[in-house]
Order: sequence, then C-alpha cells, then structure tokens
Amino acid sequence: MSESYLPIFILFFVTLGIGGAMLGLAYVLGPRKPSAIKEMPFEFGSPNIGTARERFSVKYYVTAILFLVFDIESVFIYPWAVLFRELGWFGFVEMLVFVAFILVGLVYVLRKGALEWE
Amino acid sequence: MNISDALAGMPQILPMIAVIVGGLVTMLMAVARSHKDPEHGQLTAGPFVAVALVSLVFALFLLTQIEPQAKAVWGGTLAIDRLSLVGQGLIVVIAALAISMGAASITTQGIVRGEYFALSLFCVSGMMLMVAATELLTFFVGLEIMSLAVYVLVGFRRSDRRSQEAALKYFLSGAFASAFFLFGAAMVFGATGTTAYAGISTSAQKLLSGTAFPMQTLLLVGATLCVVGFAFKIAAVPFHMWAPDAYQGAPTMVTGFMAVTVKAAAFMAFLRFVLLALGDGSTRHVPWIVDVLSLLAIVTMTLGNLSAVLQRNVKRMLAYSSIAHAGYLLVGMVGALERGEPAVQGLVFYLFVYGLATLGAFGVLIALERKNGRHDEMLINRFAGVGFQHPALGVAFAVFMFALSGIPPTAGFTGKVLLFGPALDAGHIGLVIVAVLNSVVSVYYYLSIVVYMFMKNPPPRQSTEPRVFSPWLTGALVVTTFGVLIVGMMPQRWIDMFAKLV
Repeated sequence: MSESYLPIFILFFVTLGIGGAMLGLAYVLGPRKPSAIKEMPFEFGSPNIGTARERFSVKYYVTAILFLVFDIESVFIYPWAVLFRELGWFGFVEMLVFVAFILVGLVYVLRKGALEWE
Repeated sequence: MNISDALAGMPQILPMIAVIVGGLVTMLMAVARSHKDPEHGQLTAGPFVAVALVSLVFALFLLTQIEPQAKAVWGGTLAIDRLSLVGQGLIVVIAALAISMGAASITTQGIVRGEYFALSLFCVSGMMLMVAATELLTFFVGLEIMSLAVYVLVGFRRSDRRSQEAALKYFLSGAFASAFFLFGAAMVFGATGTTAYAGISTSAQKLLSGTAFPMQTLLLVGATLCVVGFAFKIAAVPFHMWAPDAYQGAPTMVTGFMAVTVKAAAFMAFLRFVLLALGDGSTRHVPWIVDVLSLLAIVTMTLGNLSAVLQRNVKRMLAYSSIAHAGYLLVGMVGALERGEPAVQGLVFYLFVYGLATLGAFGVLIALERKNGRHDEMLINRFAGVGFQHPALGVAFAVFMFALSGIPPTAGFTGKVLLFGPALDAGHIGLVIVAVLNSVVSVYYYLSIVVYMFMKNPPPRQSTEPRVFSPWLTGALVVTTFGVLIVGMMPQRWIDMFAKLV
C-alpha cells in the first residue's frame, strides 16, 4: 500500500528540483549589473517607500471578503456545468439550493449596506 | 445519489433543514427591520425569539417522528440511531432555552441585533450534523458550521475590548484545533483508505493486528491528532487555554450557550468517533485509548477545579467549572468504552443535567446584569446580599450550584452516580476516587457564591439602574430550576426515559 505513495514522493523532489534549478541557474548564469534602482524591492512599479503602518480602508476588506464568497460560488458552478447531464435532476436541485443560499446572503449584504462605497 | 434516493432520505435531515430555514428567516428579518427603523434601540426581540423557537420546536417535533435506524443513511455519512436522535433533541431543547435567555440580554446589553438569532440557529444546525455524523468529513463540515457561528457570537459585543479579545483568541485556537483534526483525518484516510467510521474500524483491526510499519504508525498518529481536535472543542486540559478568556469575554448569553451546547455536541461526536472508529470495549483496536482518556480526565478535573477555586470573577469561575465537568464527562466516556450502552445513557443523562444547571446559572447572571452594563465585571462581591434583594434568583442560583456540585436532591447527584458507576464497575477505581475527590473540591467554590448571596450584607451604595424584566428569561429560568429539581427528585422516570431512548 505504501508503494502507491511513491509518485507523490517523486513529485515532491521533482518540484523541489525544478524550482531550485530555476533560481540556481538564474543566479549562476544571469549577468548582473546592479544599480541603486535595480536593488530596490519591486512591488508593482509605483514608488514603494512610505510608512509601514499605513492604514487600509476597512471598506476594502469587506468588499474583498464579499468578492471571495461570490468567487467561490462560480468556482462551484463551473464543474457543475460541465457535469450537468450526468448529475441530472439531483444536481440541478442541489445547485438551486446552493444558489438560493447565496441569494439570501446577497439580499442580506445589500440591505445591510455593505456594498455602498461611501 | 439520484433524486429519488435524496427524496427518500429527506425526512431524516428535515429537522436540520427546519433549523436552517429558521436561521435564514431571522437573518432576513434582521435587515428588513434595521432599514425601516434606524433607531436600533427600538428593535424588539419578541418576533425573533418567536421565529427561532418555532423552528426549534418544529425541529424537535420532526425528530420525534423519525424511526431510529441501525444502519447509517445518506451514503453512510449520517447515523439516525437513537443516540443521534436524542443528541439532536437535547441540543435543540437546550438551545431553545439559551436563545430565550439571550432575548433578555439582547435588550439589556444594548446589542440589539437580529443576527444573534440567525447565528445561533445556524450554529444549532451544525451541532445537529456533528452529532449525527458517522464520517470524518461530514463531522468536520458540521464542526465548522458550528464554530464559525460561535466565533462571531463571542465577539458580538463589538465595542467591548474583552469581547474582541475573546473572539480573536477563540478563533485562533479554534482554527488550530480544526487544523489538527483535519491533518489527523487526512492521515487516517491515508492509512485506511476511508473516512467512514465503520470502514476505519475494520481497516484498523486489520492494520493493528499485523506489523505493517508505516500504515500502522500513520493510523495511530492520525487518530491521536483527531482526538486532540476533539479535546480542544470540549476544553479538556491541556487543550483548554482558550476557554476561560473566551467565556469571560463573550456576552453572558453567548457564554451560557457555548458552555452547554458546544460542549454537548462536541462530546457526543467525540463519543461516536471513539466508539465506532477506535473500537468499544469488546473490539478495542487502539489499545491506549482508555489510558489516554483516563489521563485526560484526571488532569482536566483536577486542574479545572483547582483553578476555579482561585477565581474571583464568577464568569471565569464557571468557565473553569465547565472545564472540570469536561473531566467528569471523560470519566463517563471511559465507562462507555468499557461497558457500552448503559454508560452511554449515563453520559447523555449527565450532559442533559449539566446543560440545565449551567444554563440556569448563566441565566441568573444575565438577570443580574445591569442595563447597558457593558463593563459589568461580575466579581464575586457583586453577589453580596443578592439572595435577600432577589430571593427567587438567589434560590434558583443556589439550586444550580448544588446541582453542579452533585448534592442531592438535585439532578446533579443522580447524574454523577450514573456517570461514574460504569467506570467503577469496569475496575477504574482510582479514576473514580479522583473524580469524587474533585467533586468535593468543587463544592467550595460553588457554595462560596451562595454564601455571598445569603450570608453577606449588600454593599451600601446600590446602583439605581433598573433591571429589565423579560418574560422569556423568567420562563427559561423557571424551566431550568424545576427541571434540575424534578429530575433530581424523581430520577427513575427520567433514567427510564433515557434508557428507552438512547
């Protein structure tokens, strides 16, 4: 039975090897001409010097969480749509129930005013 | 599974669906109200309690209509046996009492939010699933439905730092516990190839009789991690660290709810996991399970009781008391492993009694909280003279304390006899002696509150803040007080009832 885990073990080392090789080869082979700007940590292109204690708007956080909920919903719907015929009526009703739950959540969120960006 | 199978199985999960629908309705009511009426203080708890109680009573009615079945249903994920039905019923009854008590607090504490009811009901549905689950992942889904709701409930008093602290601590340690359990479940699955308790049991028997090194070790480590996950949820020492802070910081109505229902649900799920997957008295696959449970029981009782003696804050004291009770219940679980059916009945009976008494005690605390008393510290000297100012509350509290310490004629005495008896029969004499000695220690701190209530003079300066009278709270307190007394005075009828049911 433990032999069946061998592929996972091999995969582990293959992954480690590929990742290590990429970083290692780039380090060894890549030409390097350091300059002050290049040495700066890169984030997304905009100047990244500022206070480390910057405050993020809580509204952003709420929106991100809500986005996650509906994102998960679509993650569930895609495989369901692919298998729609095999799942038949049972799958259809299951998905209706699931979407109904999310709908109640949406109504709650809307009425609570969580989507108003003021 | 096709649709006709699902329809045929529908009655078995209808009680849970009823509770979930109740939760959805209260959730929508919460937003429907808040928009009509911007003045939150005007929100009355009445309609919410009514909807919550209707859904719970309906769920209880549906539970009584289900025929118990020996085989697991829904593809082997749910048990609809007597233990499952009685367990679900117990949780529904206790939750109904807790929600009624919360209704009073929701107006006195200035946290008028309908979400309290929605979250409580979702939580109850998760507990019902936990109690019925006969498979690791189904249990885990139930556990998370319950836990996520309770994390939010603990932090319900958002403006109160203690409540925030409690919620964060509970959430972090709870997430740890979930991770432990899930990791253990993955290992058990890896070793046995199944997540169903019955399958784990057969596979474990095969694995542990042989000497197959890697799989056997994997199974034992996995089972241990699962046990750790359960021990977190029932707050057994050394996995109890979150309990005192979470119990103290949470709003009192939530503390009562979680001290009772969360513990009962986790315990019954734990019992099912140990009995079905790890093997009962006759087919014990995992040899050390009795020793581990005995050790956990001794440490939990002793540390819980000794720490409770030192507390000055009554909520914190009751938190340690609930840890100690987890220890007593573990003694009952050792008995259940050795003796089977009668011991399981005793355990469920004790959970019922513990639930009534603990919930009642927290109900009295709710009744004594002042209006908008956000920082009400509930220190023990607050109780000085309360017995004369509010005789009914004082007497009720004394009854609950007697019950928790196990003094006749309350139900606590009968409960302890039934709980410790099977372990004694099975020859765990040392364990039972420790349990009884611990009960003696517990009398000190339980009765010290009663002493404050009836034998000390009230402080001269009294708060003039009026206490809010709530019919819901009063009703729930009457039920719990008389429940504890009647079950204690006429135990045989109730024991027979539980014997017939479980």
